[in-house]
Order: sequence, then structure tokens, then C-alpha cells
Amino acid sequence: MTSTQVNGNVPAFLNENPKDRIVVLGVPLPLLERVGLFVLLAAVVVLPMVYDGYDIYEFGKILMYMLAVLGLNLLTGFNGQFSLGHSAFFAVGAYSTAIMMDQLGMPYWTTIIPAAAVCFVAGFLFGLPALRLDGLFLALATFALAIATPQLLKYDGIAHLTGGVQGIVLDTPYPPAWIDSIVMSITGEELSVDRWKYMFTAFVAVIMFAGAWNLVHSRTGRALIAIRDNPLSAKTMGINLAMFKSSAFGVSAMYTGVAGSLFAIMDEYLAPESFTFAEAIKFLVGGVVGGIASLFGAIFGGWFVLEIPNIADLVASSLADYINNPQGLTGLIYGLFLIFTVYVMPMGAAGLVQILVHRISTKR
Amino acid sequence: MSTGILEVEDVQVRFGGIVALDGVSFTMPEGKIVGLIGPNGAGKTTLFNCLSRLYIPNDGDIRFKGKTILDSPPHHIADIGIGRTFQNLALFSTMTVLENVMVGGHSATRSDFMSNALRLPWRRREEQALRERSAALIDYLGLGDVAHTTVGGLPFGTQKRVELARALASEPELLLMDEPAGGLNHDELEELGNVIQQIRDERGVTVLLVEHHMGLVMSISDKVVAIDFGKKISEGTPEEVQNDPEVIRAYLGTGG
Repeated sequence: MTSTQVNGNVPAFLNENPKDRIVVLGVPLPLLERVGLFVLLAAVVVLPMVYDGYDIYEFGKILMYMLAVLGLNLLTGFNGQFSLGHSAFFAVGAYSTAIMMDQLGMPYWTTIIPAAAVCFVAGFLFGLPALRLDGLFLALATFALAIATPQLLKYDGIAHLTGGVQGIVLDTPYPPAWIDSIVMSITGEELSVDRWKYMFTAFVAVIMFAGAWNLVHSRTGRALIAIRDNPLSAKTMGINLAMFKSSAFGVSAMYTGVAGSLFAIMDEYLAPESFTFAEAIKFLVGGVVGGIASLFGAIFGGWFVLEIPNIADLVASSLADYINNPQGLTGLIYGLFLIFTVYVMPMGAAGLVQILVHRISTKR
Repeated sequence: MSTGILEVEDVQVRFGGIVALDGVSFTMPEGKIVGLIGPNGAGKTTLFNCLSRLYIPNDGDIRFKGKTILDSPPHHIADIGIGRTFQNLALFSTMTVLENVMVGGHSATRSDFMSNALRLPWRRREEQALRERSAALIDYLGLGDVAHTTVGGLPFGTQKRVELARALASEPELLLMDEPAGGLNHDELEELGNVIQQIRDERGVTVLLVEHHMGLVMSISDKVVAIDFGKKISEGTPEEVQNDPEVIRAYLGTGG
């Protein structure tokens, strides 16, 4: 037996993290990453203590969009399957929650898990025929789904459930009494609904983000990436392509669907016009500007798709002194922002961070 | 009669009107290296793809440890103990060497979407065991220095060794190697020959070597099968096959 045989000794290189050797401004990269994660989590917790009203509602929206972008990224970034139809799963999640609240009288917080299950099944089932479609053809099939969704939601036959064109007005998601009393005893103030909406959204988002992180860094995640990189070879390694690809569709739909649930809860209202093809494109834009196959990139993506249109609007309004009716330029300015963004960071925000770290770091 | 670990029986493959394999039969004795040779277009790769179930023969049977493999879907082939490497590298180019080898262990591990998302304790243990096993293989094939490097940028010869490590990670009893010598220089070739023999001797793996490089096949094979125009033309020890007039004719022509 040679010395290289397995003797229960683990080769030294296994526990070496190549990142240990990268030093950014005197700080080892893994430490920097840990601090960054801590700051991010702290921000999520601290935000509702600082902000209230519309501001905190916007932060909740960012996290909601982050989940939707994350869902699409799991499918497209990690598994290599295109979807232009994720607005449909966003709608399935939102309407599941709304119908459970409206028709069954279920409290808003009990609807998340059943809605997630419904979206997983919907995504999985859509993923089955999608197995036969590749690249552009899959994009077309999902596009059809996106186009059909608002129409279906307006359909008379199910209008008693969906509210048809009118949509559904939902109950306000008040915080549970026990949370209210805890907050009251600490701060002496009543917890506002806006702050509570954010806290609820953040709670769901952080748990789901952690789940996605675990999934991506596991046997399952490796199988998904293997299928993206080389399907034939993945099959030979014993990976069941049909099972993994349709499950990836299911999980992806579940993430985007839960974002839809949170959307319905936060806005207390939903209507078919919120679930058009434009929404699906928003998720795609979020995924690309954040960084394909990057989980943290989805946070930036969520912020981008929510805030950049607003910023574009502001810029357009500020031109009022020079141009008549500058609101018409909002789309143009948004487009310029988008072009500028992909020009400056062709690998998305996550790629830009990597490049910057590479630039200012030294190797030991 | 002792049957081999793999029995190929009267396998026939037709593509439209072209007969790519015409009734090929041979057996592979357990724990041996078998070389499969033949001129270009002889049907080697077709046979190889039948063995890894990427093609289904029109006729005949392929039995692994006495059981037909033809009713197993391709992704079960690794499960039952057959691993393979590819002629043109088929690595997962965005992953590191370690991750590639760990994907090789896919069929030997069980964690699923749910247990992975929740990071259950048993799946953490499974993951750690797989990491250690993969690291041992990487060490075995001398890839320790590049374990955490993305495979896409590695030299060709190194990538070939990563493929071998990845194939071994599924703990195969039978290893199918499609032209492993292609593109290697003289030193790398010699090393490859040693590694294949080591895999046979130390791990008890049976190896089917589909190869153009006569020197390699003849020096390490226990048995050689030669095919030409989809038919088996010779079978025996390397010496027997090398001196078979049929084989000489197939490679050099009938001589005018």
C-alpha cells in the first residue's frame, strides 16, 4: 500500500482555504467576508428601529424583490434554464396567499408555507415539459406563460376567487399581540404596521436566503451547476437530469412565489396588472445586474429593480425647467442607467466586488 | 464456465442504413485491463457509448455482473458500478478540482433538496466524508496543488487526471476510459500507464481502455479486443493480437 492511500489521514490541502492567502488592506478575505455578513444582518435588524412609514416599506420591498430575483437566479444562474415567465409564479404565490386570506379567512402568516408548496408544485409541473426545451425555446415557452397569466387571472370562470379585473383587497397584516407587547415594553411605543410588515418580510427572506445558501453549497447545488456546465457528463456521473431540472424549476418558482405572497401581504391589495410580462423582465434584470449565479448579488438586484425606476423618475422631473413634459423621458433615463450599469459591471454587482477585491488585495 | 464482470453479447447498432456495430461479442475478466482497439471508424466509440448507455443497441445484450444494463436509464449506470472518462474533456469547467471530484461521488451519496436546504446533521457528515474521500483521490492522482483551482484553466494533461479522479469518486468496479492518451506527451503517457495499472492493482478496478495509442494498449493490457468495420476481428493477449494477420491487414491495408 502506498503512502497516498486513504488511511483516515486527511490531506492537508483539504482544509486550506485559498481565500486565506488573500489579504485586502491588511485584513484576510475570509474575516472581511464574515464582518460583511454580520454588518448586513445587523442592518436588516436595525433598519426598522431607525425608519418607519414609506421608507421601511421600501426596504421590505427590496427584500421581497431580492427573493424573487433569487428564485430566478437559482434556475437560470445555477441550473442554466431560462425563464421569461417568472411573473406567473409570482402571481401564483400572491394569489394563493390572497385567496387563502380572502376565501378561507386564514391569517396572513399561515399562508406563506401553503403558498410556497403550491408554487413548488406549479413550477415542478411546468418544469416537466420544459425538459424537452432548450435555451431559446424554453425562453419562448416561459414567455407564453407570462403573457397568459394576467389574462387567466381576469377569466370570468375563476373571477369569484381572483376578483377578476378588480383584484382582491386584503386585510391589514397587524402584528401579533405578543410581539406588539414585547416591542411596547422595550420601546414604550406601539409597533407600526409598516415596521411589522418589514420585520415579517425580513424574517421570511433571511430564512429563505439561508436555505438557498445551504442548497447551493451542497450535493444538490453541485448537481445543478454540473448540469449547467455539462449535461452529458452530469448524466454519466449518475445525476438524474429530469428530476434535478424539474425540481430546480419547482424550487425557483417557490422562491419567486413566496416573494409574490409577501407582495400581496405588504400591499394589502393585488390585481392582474401587477403580474405582467414586465415583472418577469424585472426579475431577469435584477439577476443580471446583481450577478448571475450569485446569491448576494440578488440583494443588489432587488434594490436595482425597485429603486432605479424611481431615481430615473426623479432625474426626469428635475429636467422640468429645461424640457416640456420631462416625465416622458423616464423610460429613456432608466434605459441609460441600465446600459451604464452593465457597461461598468459586465459581471454584475457580485462580479464587480470580486474584481475590486482582486485589485486591492495582496497575496501572501 | 467463469463469466467476466462485463459480457458483451452479439451487440448490433445501426444508424439508418449504416451498420456501426455488427454482432460484437467479448467478455471482460474481473480485475483486468482490457484494451479495445481498431482503426478510425471501426465502431469503438459507438460500443463505448452503448456501455455507458448513451446509445441503446438495436440487438444483442450487455450484462454487468450477470445483469443486463440495457433496461437501466443512463444516470443509473454510475450507481451500478460503471464509471467513465471522456475522449474530449467533459469536466464541469466553472468548478474547482475538488468540486468536480465531489460531483463524481454523486451516485455514492444520498442527500436531497430538503435535507440540503435545512443542512441536517446527517447530510453534513455525508458531505464531510465525501470531501475527505475526494481529497484522498486528488492526493492519489497527485492533484493536491490544484485542488482548489477552477478546472477550466488547467493544462490538458492535468484536466485528464481530474477526469480520472472524478470517475473513481463513484467507486466504480468497471472503469471505461475513452482514449485517455490523446493529447498527452511522452512523460505523461508513461505516467498514465502506471496510474491505470495502479488503479487495477490497488483498487481492484476492471478497466476497459479504448485507445489509439498502440504502445500504451500493448504495454499495460491483460487482454486486447480488436474491431474493424463494426466486427470483432481478433481477441487475445497483446502478443496474439499484435501478430494476428487480420489486425495487421486492418491497420496496414491488404498490401498491394
